Amino acid sequence: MRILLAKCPRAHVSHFEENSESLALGYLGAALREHDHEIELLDASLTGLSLSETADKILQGEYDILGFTLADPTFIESTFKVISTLRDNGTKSHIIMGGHSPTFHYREILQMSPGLDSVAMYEGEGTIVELANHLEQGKDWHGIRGLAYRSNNGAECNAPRPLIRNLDDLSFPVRDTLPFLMEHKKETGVVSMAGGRGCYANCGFCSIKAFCSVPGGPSWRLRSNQDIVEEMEYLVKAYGVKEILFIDDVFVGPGQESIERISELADEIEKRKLKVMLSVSERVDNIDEGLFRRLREVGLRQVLLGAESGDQQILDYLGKGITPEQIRRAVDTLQGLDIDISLAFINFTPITRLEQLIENLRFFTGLKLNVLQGMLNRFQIYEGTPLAQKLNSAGLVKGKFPNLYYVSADRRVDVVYEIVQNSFGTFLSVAYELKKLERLLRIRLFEAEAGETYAEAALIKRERIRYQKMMNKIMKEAEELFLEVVNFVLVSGVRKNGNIESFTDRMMQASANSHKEWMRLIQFFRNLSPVLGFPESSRGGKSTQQRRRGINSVRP
Amino acid sequence: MSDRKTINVVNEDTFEAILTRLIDDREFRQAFFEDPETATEKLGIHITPEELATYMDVVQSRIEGGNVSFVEGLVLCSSSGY
Repeated sequence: MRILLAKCPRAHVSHFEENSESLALGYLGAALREHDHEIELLDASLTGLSLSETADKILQGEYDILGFTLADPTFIESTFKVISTLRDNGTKSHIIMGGHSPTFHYREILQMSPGLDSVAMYEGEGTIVELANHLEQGKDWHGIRGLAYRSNNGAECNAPRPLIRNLDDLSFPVRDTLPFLMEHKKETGVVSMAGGRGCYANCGFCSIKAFCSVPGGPSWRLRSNQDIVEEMEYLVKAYGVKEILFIDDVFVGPGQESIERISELADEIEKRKLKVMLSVSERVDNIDEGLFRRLREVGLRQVLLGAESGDQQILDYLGKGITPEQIRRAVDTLQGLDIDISLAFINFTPITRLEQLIENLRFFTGLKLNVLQGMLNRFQIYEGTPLAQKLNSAGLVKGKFPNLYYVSADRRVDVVYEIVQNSFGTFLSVAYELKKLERLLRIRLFEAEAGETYAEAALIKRERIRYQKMMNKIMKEAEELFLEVVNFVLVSGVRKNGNIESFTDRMMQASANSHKEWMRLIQFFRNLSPVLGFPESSRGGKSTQQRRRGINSVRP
Repeated sequence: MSDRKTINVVNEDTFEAILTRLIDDREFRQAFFEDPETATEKLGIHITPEELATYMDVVQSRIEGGNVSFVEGLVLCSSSGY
């Protein structure tokens, strides 16, 4: 069978730039190739194709099956449009879609997208291979486990396919889009890997537990260390990869057993002499200083911490099972180890009161991290999550999929959200620019340390201090702007009137001014820096040693 | 053969003082991007117009894709690249 696996671009322009491959497409592609099907990957989100370019590209080929992944609900509208265009132009292929949203909303998805033939629910590898085999052999595919499809009753859903028991049995994901990433996304592109699937924790906003438990679990599966390092080594040797991001929600996990497992992984990375910079995600209660010191020795330079809130009541509501003190301690530990931190939090939740919003803001800005994105994060309702069920049963969920929303208990919080949402957009791009800058410094420092070019490392460290100063100042300014919004709502209340509109306009202007000034300064710093350019050599060309020789050769 | 040249622009402390001020002081930041010479004068930093011009040229050159670098208080200019 000839199969195209695709990811469409988002429907709306976003500050968020796609910077890694779709592992979903990669794993599905690997499973299909293993069964001798001919596959192509089209990651239009990564390559920057428009909707019409995506449809045109697909129409140029002839495929028996078209498989679309929906990474999150922001891809729904665009994917539906592409499918509709394909059908309008006579595409006869079997069209299937997979992902979390299609799994939990297969009925609505099939109804909203008449061009779609089926939905692969839960893990898709076994299902898509069986579908391809059935279609190839001319067999009826409607009984395949894990599939949902359109019927006279609207939609039918077969029994879920059990989860893959041993993840080591999976082939490594195909990396057809990796050369594009390395060639065209030098500044932001990062190669991703999965050390496992699922998560053991019980966060109320996350659907992964339901995604794993409905097919029979377990909720958290891990690859063996051997298998993980094999793939790392393959990426380094075959593609010259120098940086790997582990996409697992939790990389280490809880308890002594997890510490020992990851210590052994570190030993294996060291044994194979893999010089690769690593980024992982972890819960704050799993940050063990000894383990993370060891991980730093073998390349770890960034950790994404899921903090979610600085308020205990909200942390409990979100089912995080952590305390603000644990968040502080984890941040202190990682900062002490000189590991960069990216902090995820949800500033706006259904129970957040205005006073908590102020305290939460102070808590996060007090951590001296780039938290601008988190300031604007609002709790999203995802089907299959404990909190969605809770809100549903309380009759608090409004709208229709995919536009579900809720009204906060404290209406003033919704007004604050509306104002910052409308006015902070341009300022947010400063946060992304800072993230890029931080990443460039991280890469440069890692290369300098790995190459033992200590003079260059010292120079980069000095630039990092300057970056830190600038980032702190920008966060302070963002905090002040945010507090101005909160104070406005405190005084004026929730009534919609011309005051809110003119205040929003004023905040938009203030945000735009800040954006203009900071972007200019960031650009100014970058242009002055000897270490922040991203020359052609950044991946596989001129080495750090060579760059250093370039600098030293003209040093008086 | 190289036409690379090294130009002493400002000493490192002065350079750092300007950068720190650019981060901390909004008024200075705005003034600096409007008229760097006047802004630095007001700051009490003695920097010759020639030094400043070279400094700004280098920045401008890099913005336009020129191959120049700043290293430890010195600007290294090269039209041939390195």
